[in-house]
Amino acid sequence: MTYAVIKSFGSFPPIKTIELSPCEESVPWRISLIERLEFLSQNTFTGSSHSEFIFDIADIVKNTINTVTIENSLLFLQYYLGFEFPNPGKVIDYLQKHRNLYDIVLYACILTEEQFGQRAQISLELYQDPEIHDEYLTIFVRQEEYEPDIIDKIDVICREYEPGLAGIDGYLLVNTDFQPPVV
Amino acid sequence: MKYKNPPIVEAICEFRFSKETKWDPTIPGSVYERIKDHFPVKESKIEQQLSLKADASGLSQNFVSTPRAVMLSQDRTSLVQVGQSLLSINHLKPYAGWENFRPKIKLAYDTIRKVTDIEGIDRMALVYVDRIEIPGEDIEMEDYFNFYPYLGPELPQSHVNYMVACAFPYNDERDLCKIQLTAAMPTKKDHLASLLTTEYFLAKKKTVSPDNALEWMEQAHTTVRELFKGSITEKLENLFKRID
Repeated sequence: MTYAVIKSFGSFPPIKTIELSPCEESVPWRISLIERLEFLSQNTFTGSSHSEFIFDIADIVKNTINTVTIENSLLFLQYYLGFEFPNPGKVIDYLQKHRNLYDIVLYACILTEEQFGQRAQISLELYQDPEIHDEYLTIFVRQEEYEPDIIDKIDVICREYEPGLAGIDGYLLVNTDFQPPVV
Repeated sequence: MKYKNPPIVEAICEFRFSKETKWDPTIPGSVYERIKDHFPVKESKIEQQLSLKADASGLSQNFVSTPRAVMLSQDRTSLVQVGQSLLSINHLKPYAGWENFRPKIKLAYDTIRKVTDIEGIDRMALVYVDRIEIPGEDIEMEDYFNFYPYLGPELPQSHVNYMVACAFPYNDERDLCKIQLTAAMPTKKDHLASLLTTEYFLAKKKTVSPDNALEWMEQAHTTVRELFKGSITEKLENLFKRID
């Protein structure tokens, strides 16, 4: 007997799906993302009113991405992982137009929170370079007192998510500007 | 109704065709060749379907990969997605109205019918997502919405997160229209942000023939408009600044 799990935004789709980037090498990181989201869903907020919200996030990664998906995910990052969004409108607009980037961003955000947690302020921002008219999403890590190996730790995160960037439009960087946390 | 500050952030039209519809990997490419003047930017994804198999030895899971083509307009504000038995047309803001979105739906739908015989439609839907930001620190939702989370007197009267939804039947429950109001992230200081999603969808498989799908979509649009209008108060509509 073969069957499929059904859970979706609205009435679609009849089969639970997982969207993958073009290169097959990206599969491991995506599975890792799903495992992390399911962990958050099952363990972090079990029994609380948040569990349904988190479950939706985990499920949505496996379905067609739309505006509701993106907005819910940003709320998840803000409410439950403590992310800062100095200018959320620009982040939303960028993700709406670069949807292939969506789950990579989610993955990198969770990795960053795992690595730095309460020891840093983490913000998701749209970096705009006025000189070359370039823009891309950046996860900024800011600390009151900077750890000497912060760059090494950031490099570990980058090595995890960067395979997912291959062949897709849009870009994401995890970085620090060595500034104090923004109040 | 047209607004100077329209709240629509995305409109989605989606078709899922029956399994009898012939499908092969050349279909997305054939569609692209026919619509590339309107959707010149081509990207692709691999979509994996997860199936679980149960037998005497227990549960096992299997991933089946299928490609999905994404074709975008030059400014990336509208896109067509073609995947296994799937056609989706999306329009992001700035949304230029049904009279602009309708031809894109027709173009994509007529094109896919030229490259394969659509034997039946299992699902189709028209979805509008409106992003609503209301200025003020303490917002009485009933001042702005006719559809909102009701909190009885025994409950705390302030909340930070909410999700309410309701589905209404149409045409003897052949179709359903669901409205959903959820919290969103404000983009301006001291604003309440919400997403109002209105989705009209075919609830019973193959009850609308492929020939009548676009006509069905017209009715879907009319209903979505009515429900959106019914979900908001005049005070909220004034924030959008109606111009017709």
